[in-house]
Amino acid sequence: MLFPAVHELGFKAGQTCYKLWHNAYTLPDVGEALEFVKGFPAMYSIWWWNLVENDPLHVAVETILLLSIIYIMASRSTQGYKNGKDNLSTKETEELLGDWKRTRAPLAPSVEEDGGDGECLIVHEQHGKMLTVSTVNNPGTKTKVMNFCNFDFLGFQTSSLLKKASTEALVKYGCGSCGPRGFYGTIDKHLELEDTISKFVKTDGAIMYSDGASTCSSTVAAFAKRGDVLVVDEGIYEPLMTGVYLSRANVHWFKHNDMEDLERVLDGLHKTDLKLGRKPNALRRFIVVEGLYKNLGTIAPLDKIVDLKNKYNYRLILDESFSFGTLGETGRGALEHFNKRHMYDAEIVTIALENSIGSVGGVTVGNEEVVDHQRLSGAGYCFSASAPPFTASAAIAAIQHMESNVDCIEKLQSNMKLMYGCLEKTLTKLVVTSDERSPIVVLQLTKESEYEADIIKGIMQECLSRGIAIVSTGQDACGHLRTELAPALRITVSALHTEADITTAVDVLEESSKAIMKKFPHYSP
Amino acid sequence: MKQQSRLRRLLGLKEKNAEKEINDLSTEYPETEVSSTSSGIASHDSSVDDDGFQDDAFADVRDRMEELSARDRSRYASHSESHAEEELKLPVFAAYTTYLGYAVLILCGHIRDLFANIFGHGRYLRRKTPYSSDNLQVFAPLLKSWENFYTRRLYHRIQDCFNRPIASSPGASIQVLERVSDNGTKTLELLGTLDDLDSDKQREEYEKSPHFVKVSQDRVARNCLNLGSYNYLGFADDWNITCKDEVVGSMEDLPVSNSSPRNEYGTTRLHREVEERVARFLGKEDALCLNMGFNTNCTTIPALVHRGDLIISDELNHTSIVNGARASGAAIRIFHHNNSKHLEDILREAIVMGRPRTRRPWNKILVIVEGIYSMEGEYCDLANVVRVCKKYGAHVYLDEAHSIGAMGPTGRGCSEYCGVDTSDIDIMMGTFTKSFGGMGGYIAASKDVISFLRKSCAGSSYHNSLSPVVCQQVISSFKVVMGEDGTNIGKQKIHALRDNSNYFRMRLEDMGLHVLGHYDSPIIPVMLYNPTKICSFSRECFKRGLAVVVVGFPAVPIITSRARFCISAGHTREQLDHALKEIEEVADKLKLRYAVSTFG
Ligand SMILES: Cc1ncc(COP(=O)(O)O)c(C=O)c1O
Repeated sequence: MLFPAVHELGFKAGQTCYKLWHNAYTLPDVGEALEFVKGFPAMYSIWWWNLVENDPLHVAVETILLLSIIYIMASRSTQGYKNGKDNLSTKETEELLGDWKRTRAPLAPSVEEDGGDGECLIVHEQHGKMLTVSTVNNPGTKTKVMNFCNFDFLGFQTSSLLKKASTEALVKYGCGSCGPRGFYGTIDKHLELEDTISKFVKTDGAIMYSDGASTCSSTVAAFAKRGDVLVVDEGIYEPLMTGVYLSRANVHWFKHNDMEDLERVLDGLHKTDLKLGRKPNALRRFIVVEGLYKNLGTIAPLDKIVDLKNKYNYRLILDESFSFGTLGETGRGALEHFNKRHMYDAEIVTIALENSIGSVGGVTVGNEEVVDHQRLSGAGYCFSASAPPFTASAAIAAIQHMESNVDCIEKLQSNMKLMYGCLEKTLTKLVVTSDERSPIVVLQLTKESEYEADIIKGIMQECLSRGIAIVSTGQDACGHLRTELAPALRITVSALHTEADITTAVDVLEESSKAIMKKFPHYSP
Repeated sequence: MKQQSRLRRLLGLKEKNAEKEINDLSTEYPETEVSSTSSGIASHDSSVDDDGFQDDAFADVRDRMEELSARDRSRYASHSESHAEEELKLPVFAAYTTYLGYAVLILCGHIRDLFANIFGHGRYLRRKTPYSSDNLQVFAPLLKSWENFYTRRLYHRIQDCFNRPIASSPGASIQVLERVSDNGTKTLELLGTLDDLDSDKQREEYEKSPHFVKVSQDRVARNCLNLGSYNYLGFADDWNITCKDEVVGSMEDLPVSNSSPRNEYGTTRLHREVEERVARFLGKEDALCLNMGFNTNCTTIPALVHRGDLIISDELNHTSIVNGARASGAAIRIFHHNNSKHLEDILREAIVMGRPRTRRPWNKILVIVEGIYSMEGEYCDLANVVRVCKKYGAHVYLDEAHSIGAMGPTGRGCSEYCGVDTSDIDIMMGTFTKSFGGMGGYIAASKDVISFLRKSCAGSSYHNSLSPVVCQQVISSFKVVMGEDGTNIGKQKIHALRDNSNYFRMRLEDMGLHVLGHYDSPIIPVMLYNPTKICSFSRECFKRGLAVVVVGFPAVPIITSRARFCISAGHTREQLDHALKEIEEVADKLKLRYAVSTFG
């Protein structure tokens, strides 16, 4: 019953279409076609009822399919803006533009809302370990305080040695270098510094940047590119963080100084490689750590890190900005401290010349390939003016001094011992969280509390008013760090301090903390 | 992307009759005409008279120079697309030979690599080293193959044209230390003294050169006219007179460097003075100075914009801006170089369409432009950019690294030159490394913005602050520029810079060289195109005692290699004339006159 009806309908429809298509209809045929069209509804309904009778399942399925197609098409048409071609009228557009202009966010919150300036101190003079400071709002009243705040570990900043070297270079070369290294900004002093420092730490070469912070960020970003692997300690400070971010590499974090966690991360990556069948040399892989952590005052366990890096074939990017001049018997940094060698155990080492060395800028040291690579791809090197020659001159003088006299480093290290001894004896309200070998001393409250930040800030100001300049940290205003820092006090030990200075400072700290905590009765340690 | 759109504009665009256009413009845009004369040229002339510079070194060509400078100023008066097309056409012959040149270089490079591998002998074959990371079985090489190939086979061959070390201050004449190489400029070493040479003949060759000098420790150097440093106002030339006493004196009470960020103990009284001066100079409420111009961009842009904001950036913006924009996490759109029409289109679309996918409106939009583009020598179409931004409520960020001190009748930069009120520019950034012969960068803006940045920009809260010595240098040079030292040296410098640049540019154009950029800008790029001409131009000039900068890929698109002259106030007309004479010879030798002949 079904079959002939379907056949007939199909045949007739096909024939008609064929003729229409080929313009085969001549005038006499029009009647035939009309007949077909007239008969079509009747034939169609016969066919349809046949179908329903004989194969109801088929009809049901097809109906659902048809309905869903209609539904999808209909719903898509209401989402027309997805393809970005909605036709706004000019008036609508203008309205949108006007609305946005009225409601867009300001560039920065207003001063009143924001609580004014974050900066509060001005340094008027610095002689050796003494600073003369005042507040911004009251520049007339100056007080003399002792420097436990700057990273002037070896006392080079105000030494006559550096001043003499700087003056000589200034008179000869003027101040600025007026150009990037590539275009006549290379002054022989820069080359001399690179030479001096690479000989000092025994590497093939060195490359000088004009700013300490951009040394690390440019270096990391020069080596690690998209797709490469960075395994990074969570405690790194901001410039390294920026480098890591700019590199756009795949970043994997391990807990600060936690070697088991590092091994876990490396092992995980190794397993992934095996699973994907990736060759070990398919990607560049780096471990990024600081020798001495600026924010935490801890020291990276380089012995274990080097073992792991050798086991899993990673290159090591090590920032020695704070460990250079402070760790190791002759001040050559964390690598010396752990009896490791540049280039063999740490491929890429960045050193800021702004801390121990007391000059400006930074260098990256390593083998020839590492150094040459940066000369073309270190952003802060290629695209920024080179450092003023006097800074190179000052740094050379400082390094030469370090090389010939280890006294200052010994003095620093004995001061450190003294400081930690005193702190342990005297302090009741604060705990030391930094490493005993670190000249950056970090102190925290014994107990977490909502008042922590205020107390820390208060202690810092109290100490300042009693003539000891220390730093309160922990307000990461920019959200640049990986882990939030607990509010803490930072004290910097320097070779310039005498025994009496250190004991006084610790006493002042203890007294100040007691005095401040009285103001916070709800805080009980 | 960037490269393509640039090429598109260079290739096959209609040539225009500039003269005719100006006439059209002046009738069509009378108000811009007026403003251009009121702020720029007119005041320039009158001040010359006031100060009584009797002997105008450029009296003979003064009229032409002013006319040409006025022509370029009127270019931006039209807010049509036409100015984008005005650029000189890329000669087809040069384009083909350039591609051919690269093809040959690359082919030769591969052949060399092949033979080096076959014979196991070549200067780029890896030597055995004791370092574990050199085991390429398990370590990926630091350079990927194409980068590596480019560095080895193209860059290293002309390495002697870059990184030339100097042994003097970067003033108008410099002493460039001679370098030698025993491996085909793969590595270069300082020559040192004449005694280091092997033969008498070589020694004689050096001694015979008219530019031969010996600098300290008897090292061999070449006395060159410096056409490469950013010493715009010539502070490197007269440093001992203008700045020395104060700068050296600053070390009496303050250290050589600060190892503390601005927010801790890194703010000295000199920092405050610098900031106060910069703010006053630019007519902004407050300013912030940081340790490095590069980092100023890299740290303030991320502090100001975040995810949910949009950055619209000129396609030729400096790497520091690109880095800062990337680090910010904001969305980035690029507009065609100096094309305010395209900027407007992008702005409109961005505001109407909102953020991609979520369709929320952007929180804020920051438009970033530079005052002078350092590879093009063009100044920004600031008036139109500011007009467009104001119309739609976008914020403007102007990087004046090259233009501060170097443009405008009183050296106040691009905004002064273009007659734009600085209060319409939200953020004015600049560096002290160029005109002021110092180091570091500044941000000048409203009190709100600066106080916010002081707290929240990494450069001010984490990075060590500017050295007090450099602060003093900046203060001293600002005093000179602002005329607060009691002399008119600053004024003379600014006028000399403008005259020198315009004269040099005019004469280069007369020579038929293909010169980019605008009159009144101290950066003058000259197109070289062919890769081989990069090194030959530099070497020929160097032989004649001219220290010039040549730029090739990747700093500029691969076929638009160029030489770049940076003019200084310290140059004299005699020096410039001498340089021009030598350059003309070189241009003949190397066939560089692309503006008058297809074949150069
Ligand atoms: C536009 C622009 N911004 C910023 C910089 C960086 O300035 P600095 O050399 O002081 O780091 C440069 C330098 O070349 C520049 O051209």
